[in-house]
Amino acid sequence: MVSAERTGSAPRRGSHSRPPHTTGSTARRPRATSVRVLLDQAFDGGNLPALRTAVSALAKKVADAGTAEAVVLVVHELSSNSVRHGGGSGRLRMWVTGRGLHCEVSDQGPGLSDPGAVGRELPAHAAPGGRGLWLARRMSDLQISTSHRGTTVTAVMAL
Amino acid sequence: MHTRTVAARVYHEDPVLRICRQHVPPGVRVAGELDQTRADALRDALAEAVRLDPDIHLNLNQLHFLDQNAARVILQTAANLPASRRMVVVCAEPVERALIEAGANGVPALRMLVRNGER
Repeated sequence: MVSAERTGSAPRRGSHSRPPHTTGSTARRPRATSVRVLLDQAFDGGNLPALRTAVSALAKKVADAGTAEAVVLVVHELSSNSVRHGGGSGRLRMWVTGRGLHCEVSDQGPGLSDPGAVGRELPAHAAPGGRGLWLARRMSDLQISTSHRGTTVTAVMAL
Repeated sequence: MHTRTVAARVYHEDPVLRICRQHVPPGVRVAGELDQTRADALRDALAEAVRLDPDIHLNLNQLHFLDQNAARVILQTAANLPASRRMVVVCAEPVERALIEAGANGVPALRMLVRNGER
């Protein structure tokens, strides 16, 4: 049952003011005072619909309807990439800084060989993949950090 | 004598998604949310419509989410139709958007009828 997969309570602002990023790069940390963590949720292939429901509900609180819809599309494509190519599961974290909604999807898959090029062009209809990142690049400002130990993709959408 | 099957045929049904045969106009109706994990069910349903129907009517009015891999199944089916045949998709704006992002404008056999303003 999908509803049974729902996320737990949203993290409290005070307890989760840490910037939700893991490895190094303190320079990219949003200021603690401006961070509002909306969601921190693990996912796998079985609960993508529940993840979309959670993302949609939260995005609608901070964005207009059209933007919220785009957020759901982008987050779904990124998380679905983790399910298919990134080891079958991953973690989504969403937070707001200033006028941007950050959606960070991380997995522990084998990584991307050419993160700078992937998703730059729309694949042919017959091609099996690549369109998720194509869509994410078109709808958001995308940052990809990848190694053989995993991939973290952060999509920033203007609010 | 029964020469036709008149009972509604359900291709797929779970709490998130329902795919069934539509009789008027003949085609396929999809309701709920459709993503890559269920795209095979759509592929099967569309394959039957391709065999049975002159033009393929795909009713996505009650579809609230469509991801890029599932959209690709729709576009591929339309792109592979013989030149004289069309796929007519009825949908709301979010689904139209997903189809366009997946490359719908490059598929001449695809017609989209978009329902506006209803969420």
